[in-house]
Amino acid sequence: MRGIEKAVEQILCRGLVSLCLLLLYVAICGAAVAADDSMTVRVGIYENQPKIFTDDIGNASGFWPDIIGYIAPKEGWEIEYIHGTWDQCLERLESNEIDMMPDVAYTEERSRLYDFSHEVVYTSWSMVYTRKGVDIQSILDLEGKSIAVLKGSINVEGPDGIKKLVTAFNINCTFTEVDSYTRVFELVKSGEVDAGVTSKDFGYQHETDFNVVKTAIIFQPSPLYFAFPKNSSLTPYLVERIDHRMKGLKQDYGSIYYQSLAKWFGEKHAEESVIPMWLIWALAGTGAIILLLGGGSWLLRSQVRSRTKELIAEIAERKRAEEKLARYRHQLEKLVEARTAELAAKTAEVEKANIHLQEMDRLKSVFLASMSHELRTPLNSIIGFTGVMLQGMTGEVNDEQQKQLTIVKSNAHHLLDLINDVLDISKIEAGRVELSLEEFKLNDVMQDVVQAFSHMVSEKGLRFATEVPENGVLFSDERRVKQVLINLVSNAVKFTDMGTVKVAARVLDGEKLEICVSDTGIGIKEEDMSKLFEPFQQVDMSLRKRHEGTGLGLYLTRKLAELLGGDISAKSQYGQGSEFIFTMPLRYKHQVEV
Amino acid sequence: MKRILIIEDNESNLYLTRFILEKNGYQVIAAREGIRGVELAVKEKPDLVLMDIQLPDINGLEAVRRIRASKIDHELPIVALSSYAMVGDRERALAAGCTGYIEKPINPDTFMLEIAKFL
Repeated sequence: MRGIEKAVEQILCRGLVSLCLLLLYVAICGAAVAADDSMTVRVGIYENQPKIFTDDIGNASGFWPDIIGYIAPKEGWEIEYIHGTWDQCLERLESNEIDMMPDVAYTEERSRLYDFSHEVVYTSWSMVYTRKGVDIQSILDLEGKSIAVLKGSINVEGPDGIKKLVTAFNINCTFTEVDSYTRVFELVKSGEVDAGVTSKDFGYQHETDFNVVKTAIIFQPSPLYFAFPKNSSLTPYLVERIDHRMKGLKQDYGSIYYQSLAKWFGEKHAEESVIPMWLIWALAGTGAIILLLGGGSWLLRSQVRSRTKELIAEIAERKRAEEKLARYRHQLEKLVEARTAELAAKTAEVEKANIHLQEMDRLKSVFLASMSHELRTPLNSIIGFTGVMLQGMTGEVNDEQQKQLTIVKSNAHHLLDLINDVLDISKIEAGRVELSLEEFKLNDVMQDVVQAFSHMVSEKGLRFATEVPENGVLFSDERRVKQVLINLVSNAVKFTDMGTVKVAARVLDGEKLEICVSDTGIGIKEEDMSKLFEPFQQVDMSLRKRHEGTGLGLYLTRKLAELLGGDISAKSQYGQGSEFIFTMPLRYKHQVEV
Repeated sequence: MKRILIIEDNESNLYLTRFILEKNGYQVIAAREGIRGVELAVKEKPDLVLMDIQLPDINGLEAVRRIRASKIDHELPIVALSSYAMVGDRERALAAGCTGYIEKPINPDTFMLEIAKFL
């Protein structure tokens, strides 16, 4: 239709002269063809695989060259391909440097510059491609993007081109115009642009090579024609021949036309159908989009429904969890309360038990004091009468009587010692000991101790050594300090058969007095060390026969040491001797009073 | 001859003390209860009183107070002779009016020396 209109227009415009010229051309051309079997037709070629391109060995290849290659020998044309970019080709066409240009979409603007064949050769769609990772789904996603396009291409500048399209959608994007579709894909691939526009056919061939991906933006169905220079005498002839051949090719389904379509586009083209194929595709596409939209909408609705359900379930679940948590918290609080109450009850019990124990302790002390009194009364008679008889106040005593009375006396005194120790301990433990604090010289105490044992020491043949700092003055209970030392020295002498008993005193840190009582006696076994200060634990039971003691000595001594704010420790090498270390403050401090 | 009043409820101990004192040349008067002891102390005017603390009627401390409250010579030495050996027993005895305090059991070897100090 367009072709006919155009022809009429041309005729009207150019008038009879043109018509005459046309007829003349035909005649000349016919003569030329008749005269020379081959005429050279210069054909523009640019790179737009698979439609038209230069193959590896430099030959024109693709859909258009296939058609041209079929027509040319039939018409006796020698085809000279002039290579160039799309723009160059169009320029050459305009300036009549080439006779024919394939693959040109018809536009009003172009129709003023070139002549077009009448038969549609191929319908091209354009498509926006992008690369993986760039999120372009629809036309709206092009907002703010950079897009590479083929300079001067119908899909760029045409009435349905990308520029018009984005303007219609009020989208702002930038365009980078390049010379070939290959360059478009290179820029997309390299990331210099976000997207690129090529023909769908070019994309079909090359998308994998450049690793670009299709978008859903498909537009500009462009019927493609052969174009011819307006000012060329060859043009009418060429238009006529091309139209004639194309008609024939399109009518024959086995022709090179259909073979080439199948070969290069992988699909059967149907330009001849009443409803153009692109329209069917467009309708199908629209239908598919509607279906997709409808389906999508339904899907979305059902997703929303199911998500809402999920959310409701989730809320219910969360509420249950919170209630559960609240229950647990409540239980925990109850538990803590119960435990706290238990603990308080236990504490009260312990306090009660403690008071009870203190009372028991007091009663024990009272009991021991009473016992002491009751034991002392008969003991007074025993010791008194024995003493009286041994003094001879009741008359002469013979040797055997003397011996036996001495045994009674000795045992009575042992019993008295025991009672005294028990009384002392009970006094200390009852907290009823009052210290008699005063300043006294350590030397005086030591002299008393030495004197008390001098007889026994010399009797056993022991050496008694003392080391005492001069002018050592203590503020404490002299009687108790002496008692401690006497107990320690008494033990040392008792358990030493030969060698030395030594008492060495020294001042530590200007605050403490340390008195070491060491001996070269029998010593104490390692396993007995822990029992040393326990009551009634004279370590070697066999020794009791030889060394009489109350079994309370060290226990009481430690109690006394503690009473004075000090302590006693012991070291021993079994068989080689023992060392008892008594430490006490030089000046008694009241806060440590027991 | 000096006279010594012994106030003591325990027969054995009374016998012992009396024996030692008489052997050492003292005249002994004895009472087995506190009240009786106070009467004798006032009536007999001894040179020394040996006072047991635990007695069946009034205790020794009370007896000492009563003797001291009477019109007898305030210089009369009263020596407590007691089996009580707890802290404070000595002090309590002295506070009640005792001149001295001897712990039982007595030491037969030194007993007379101690007594002599108060006469």
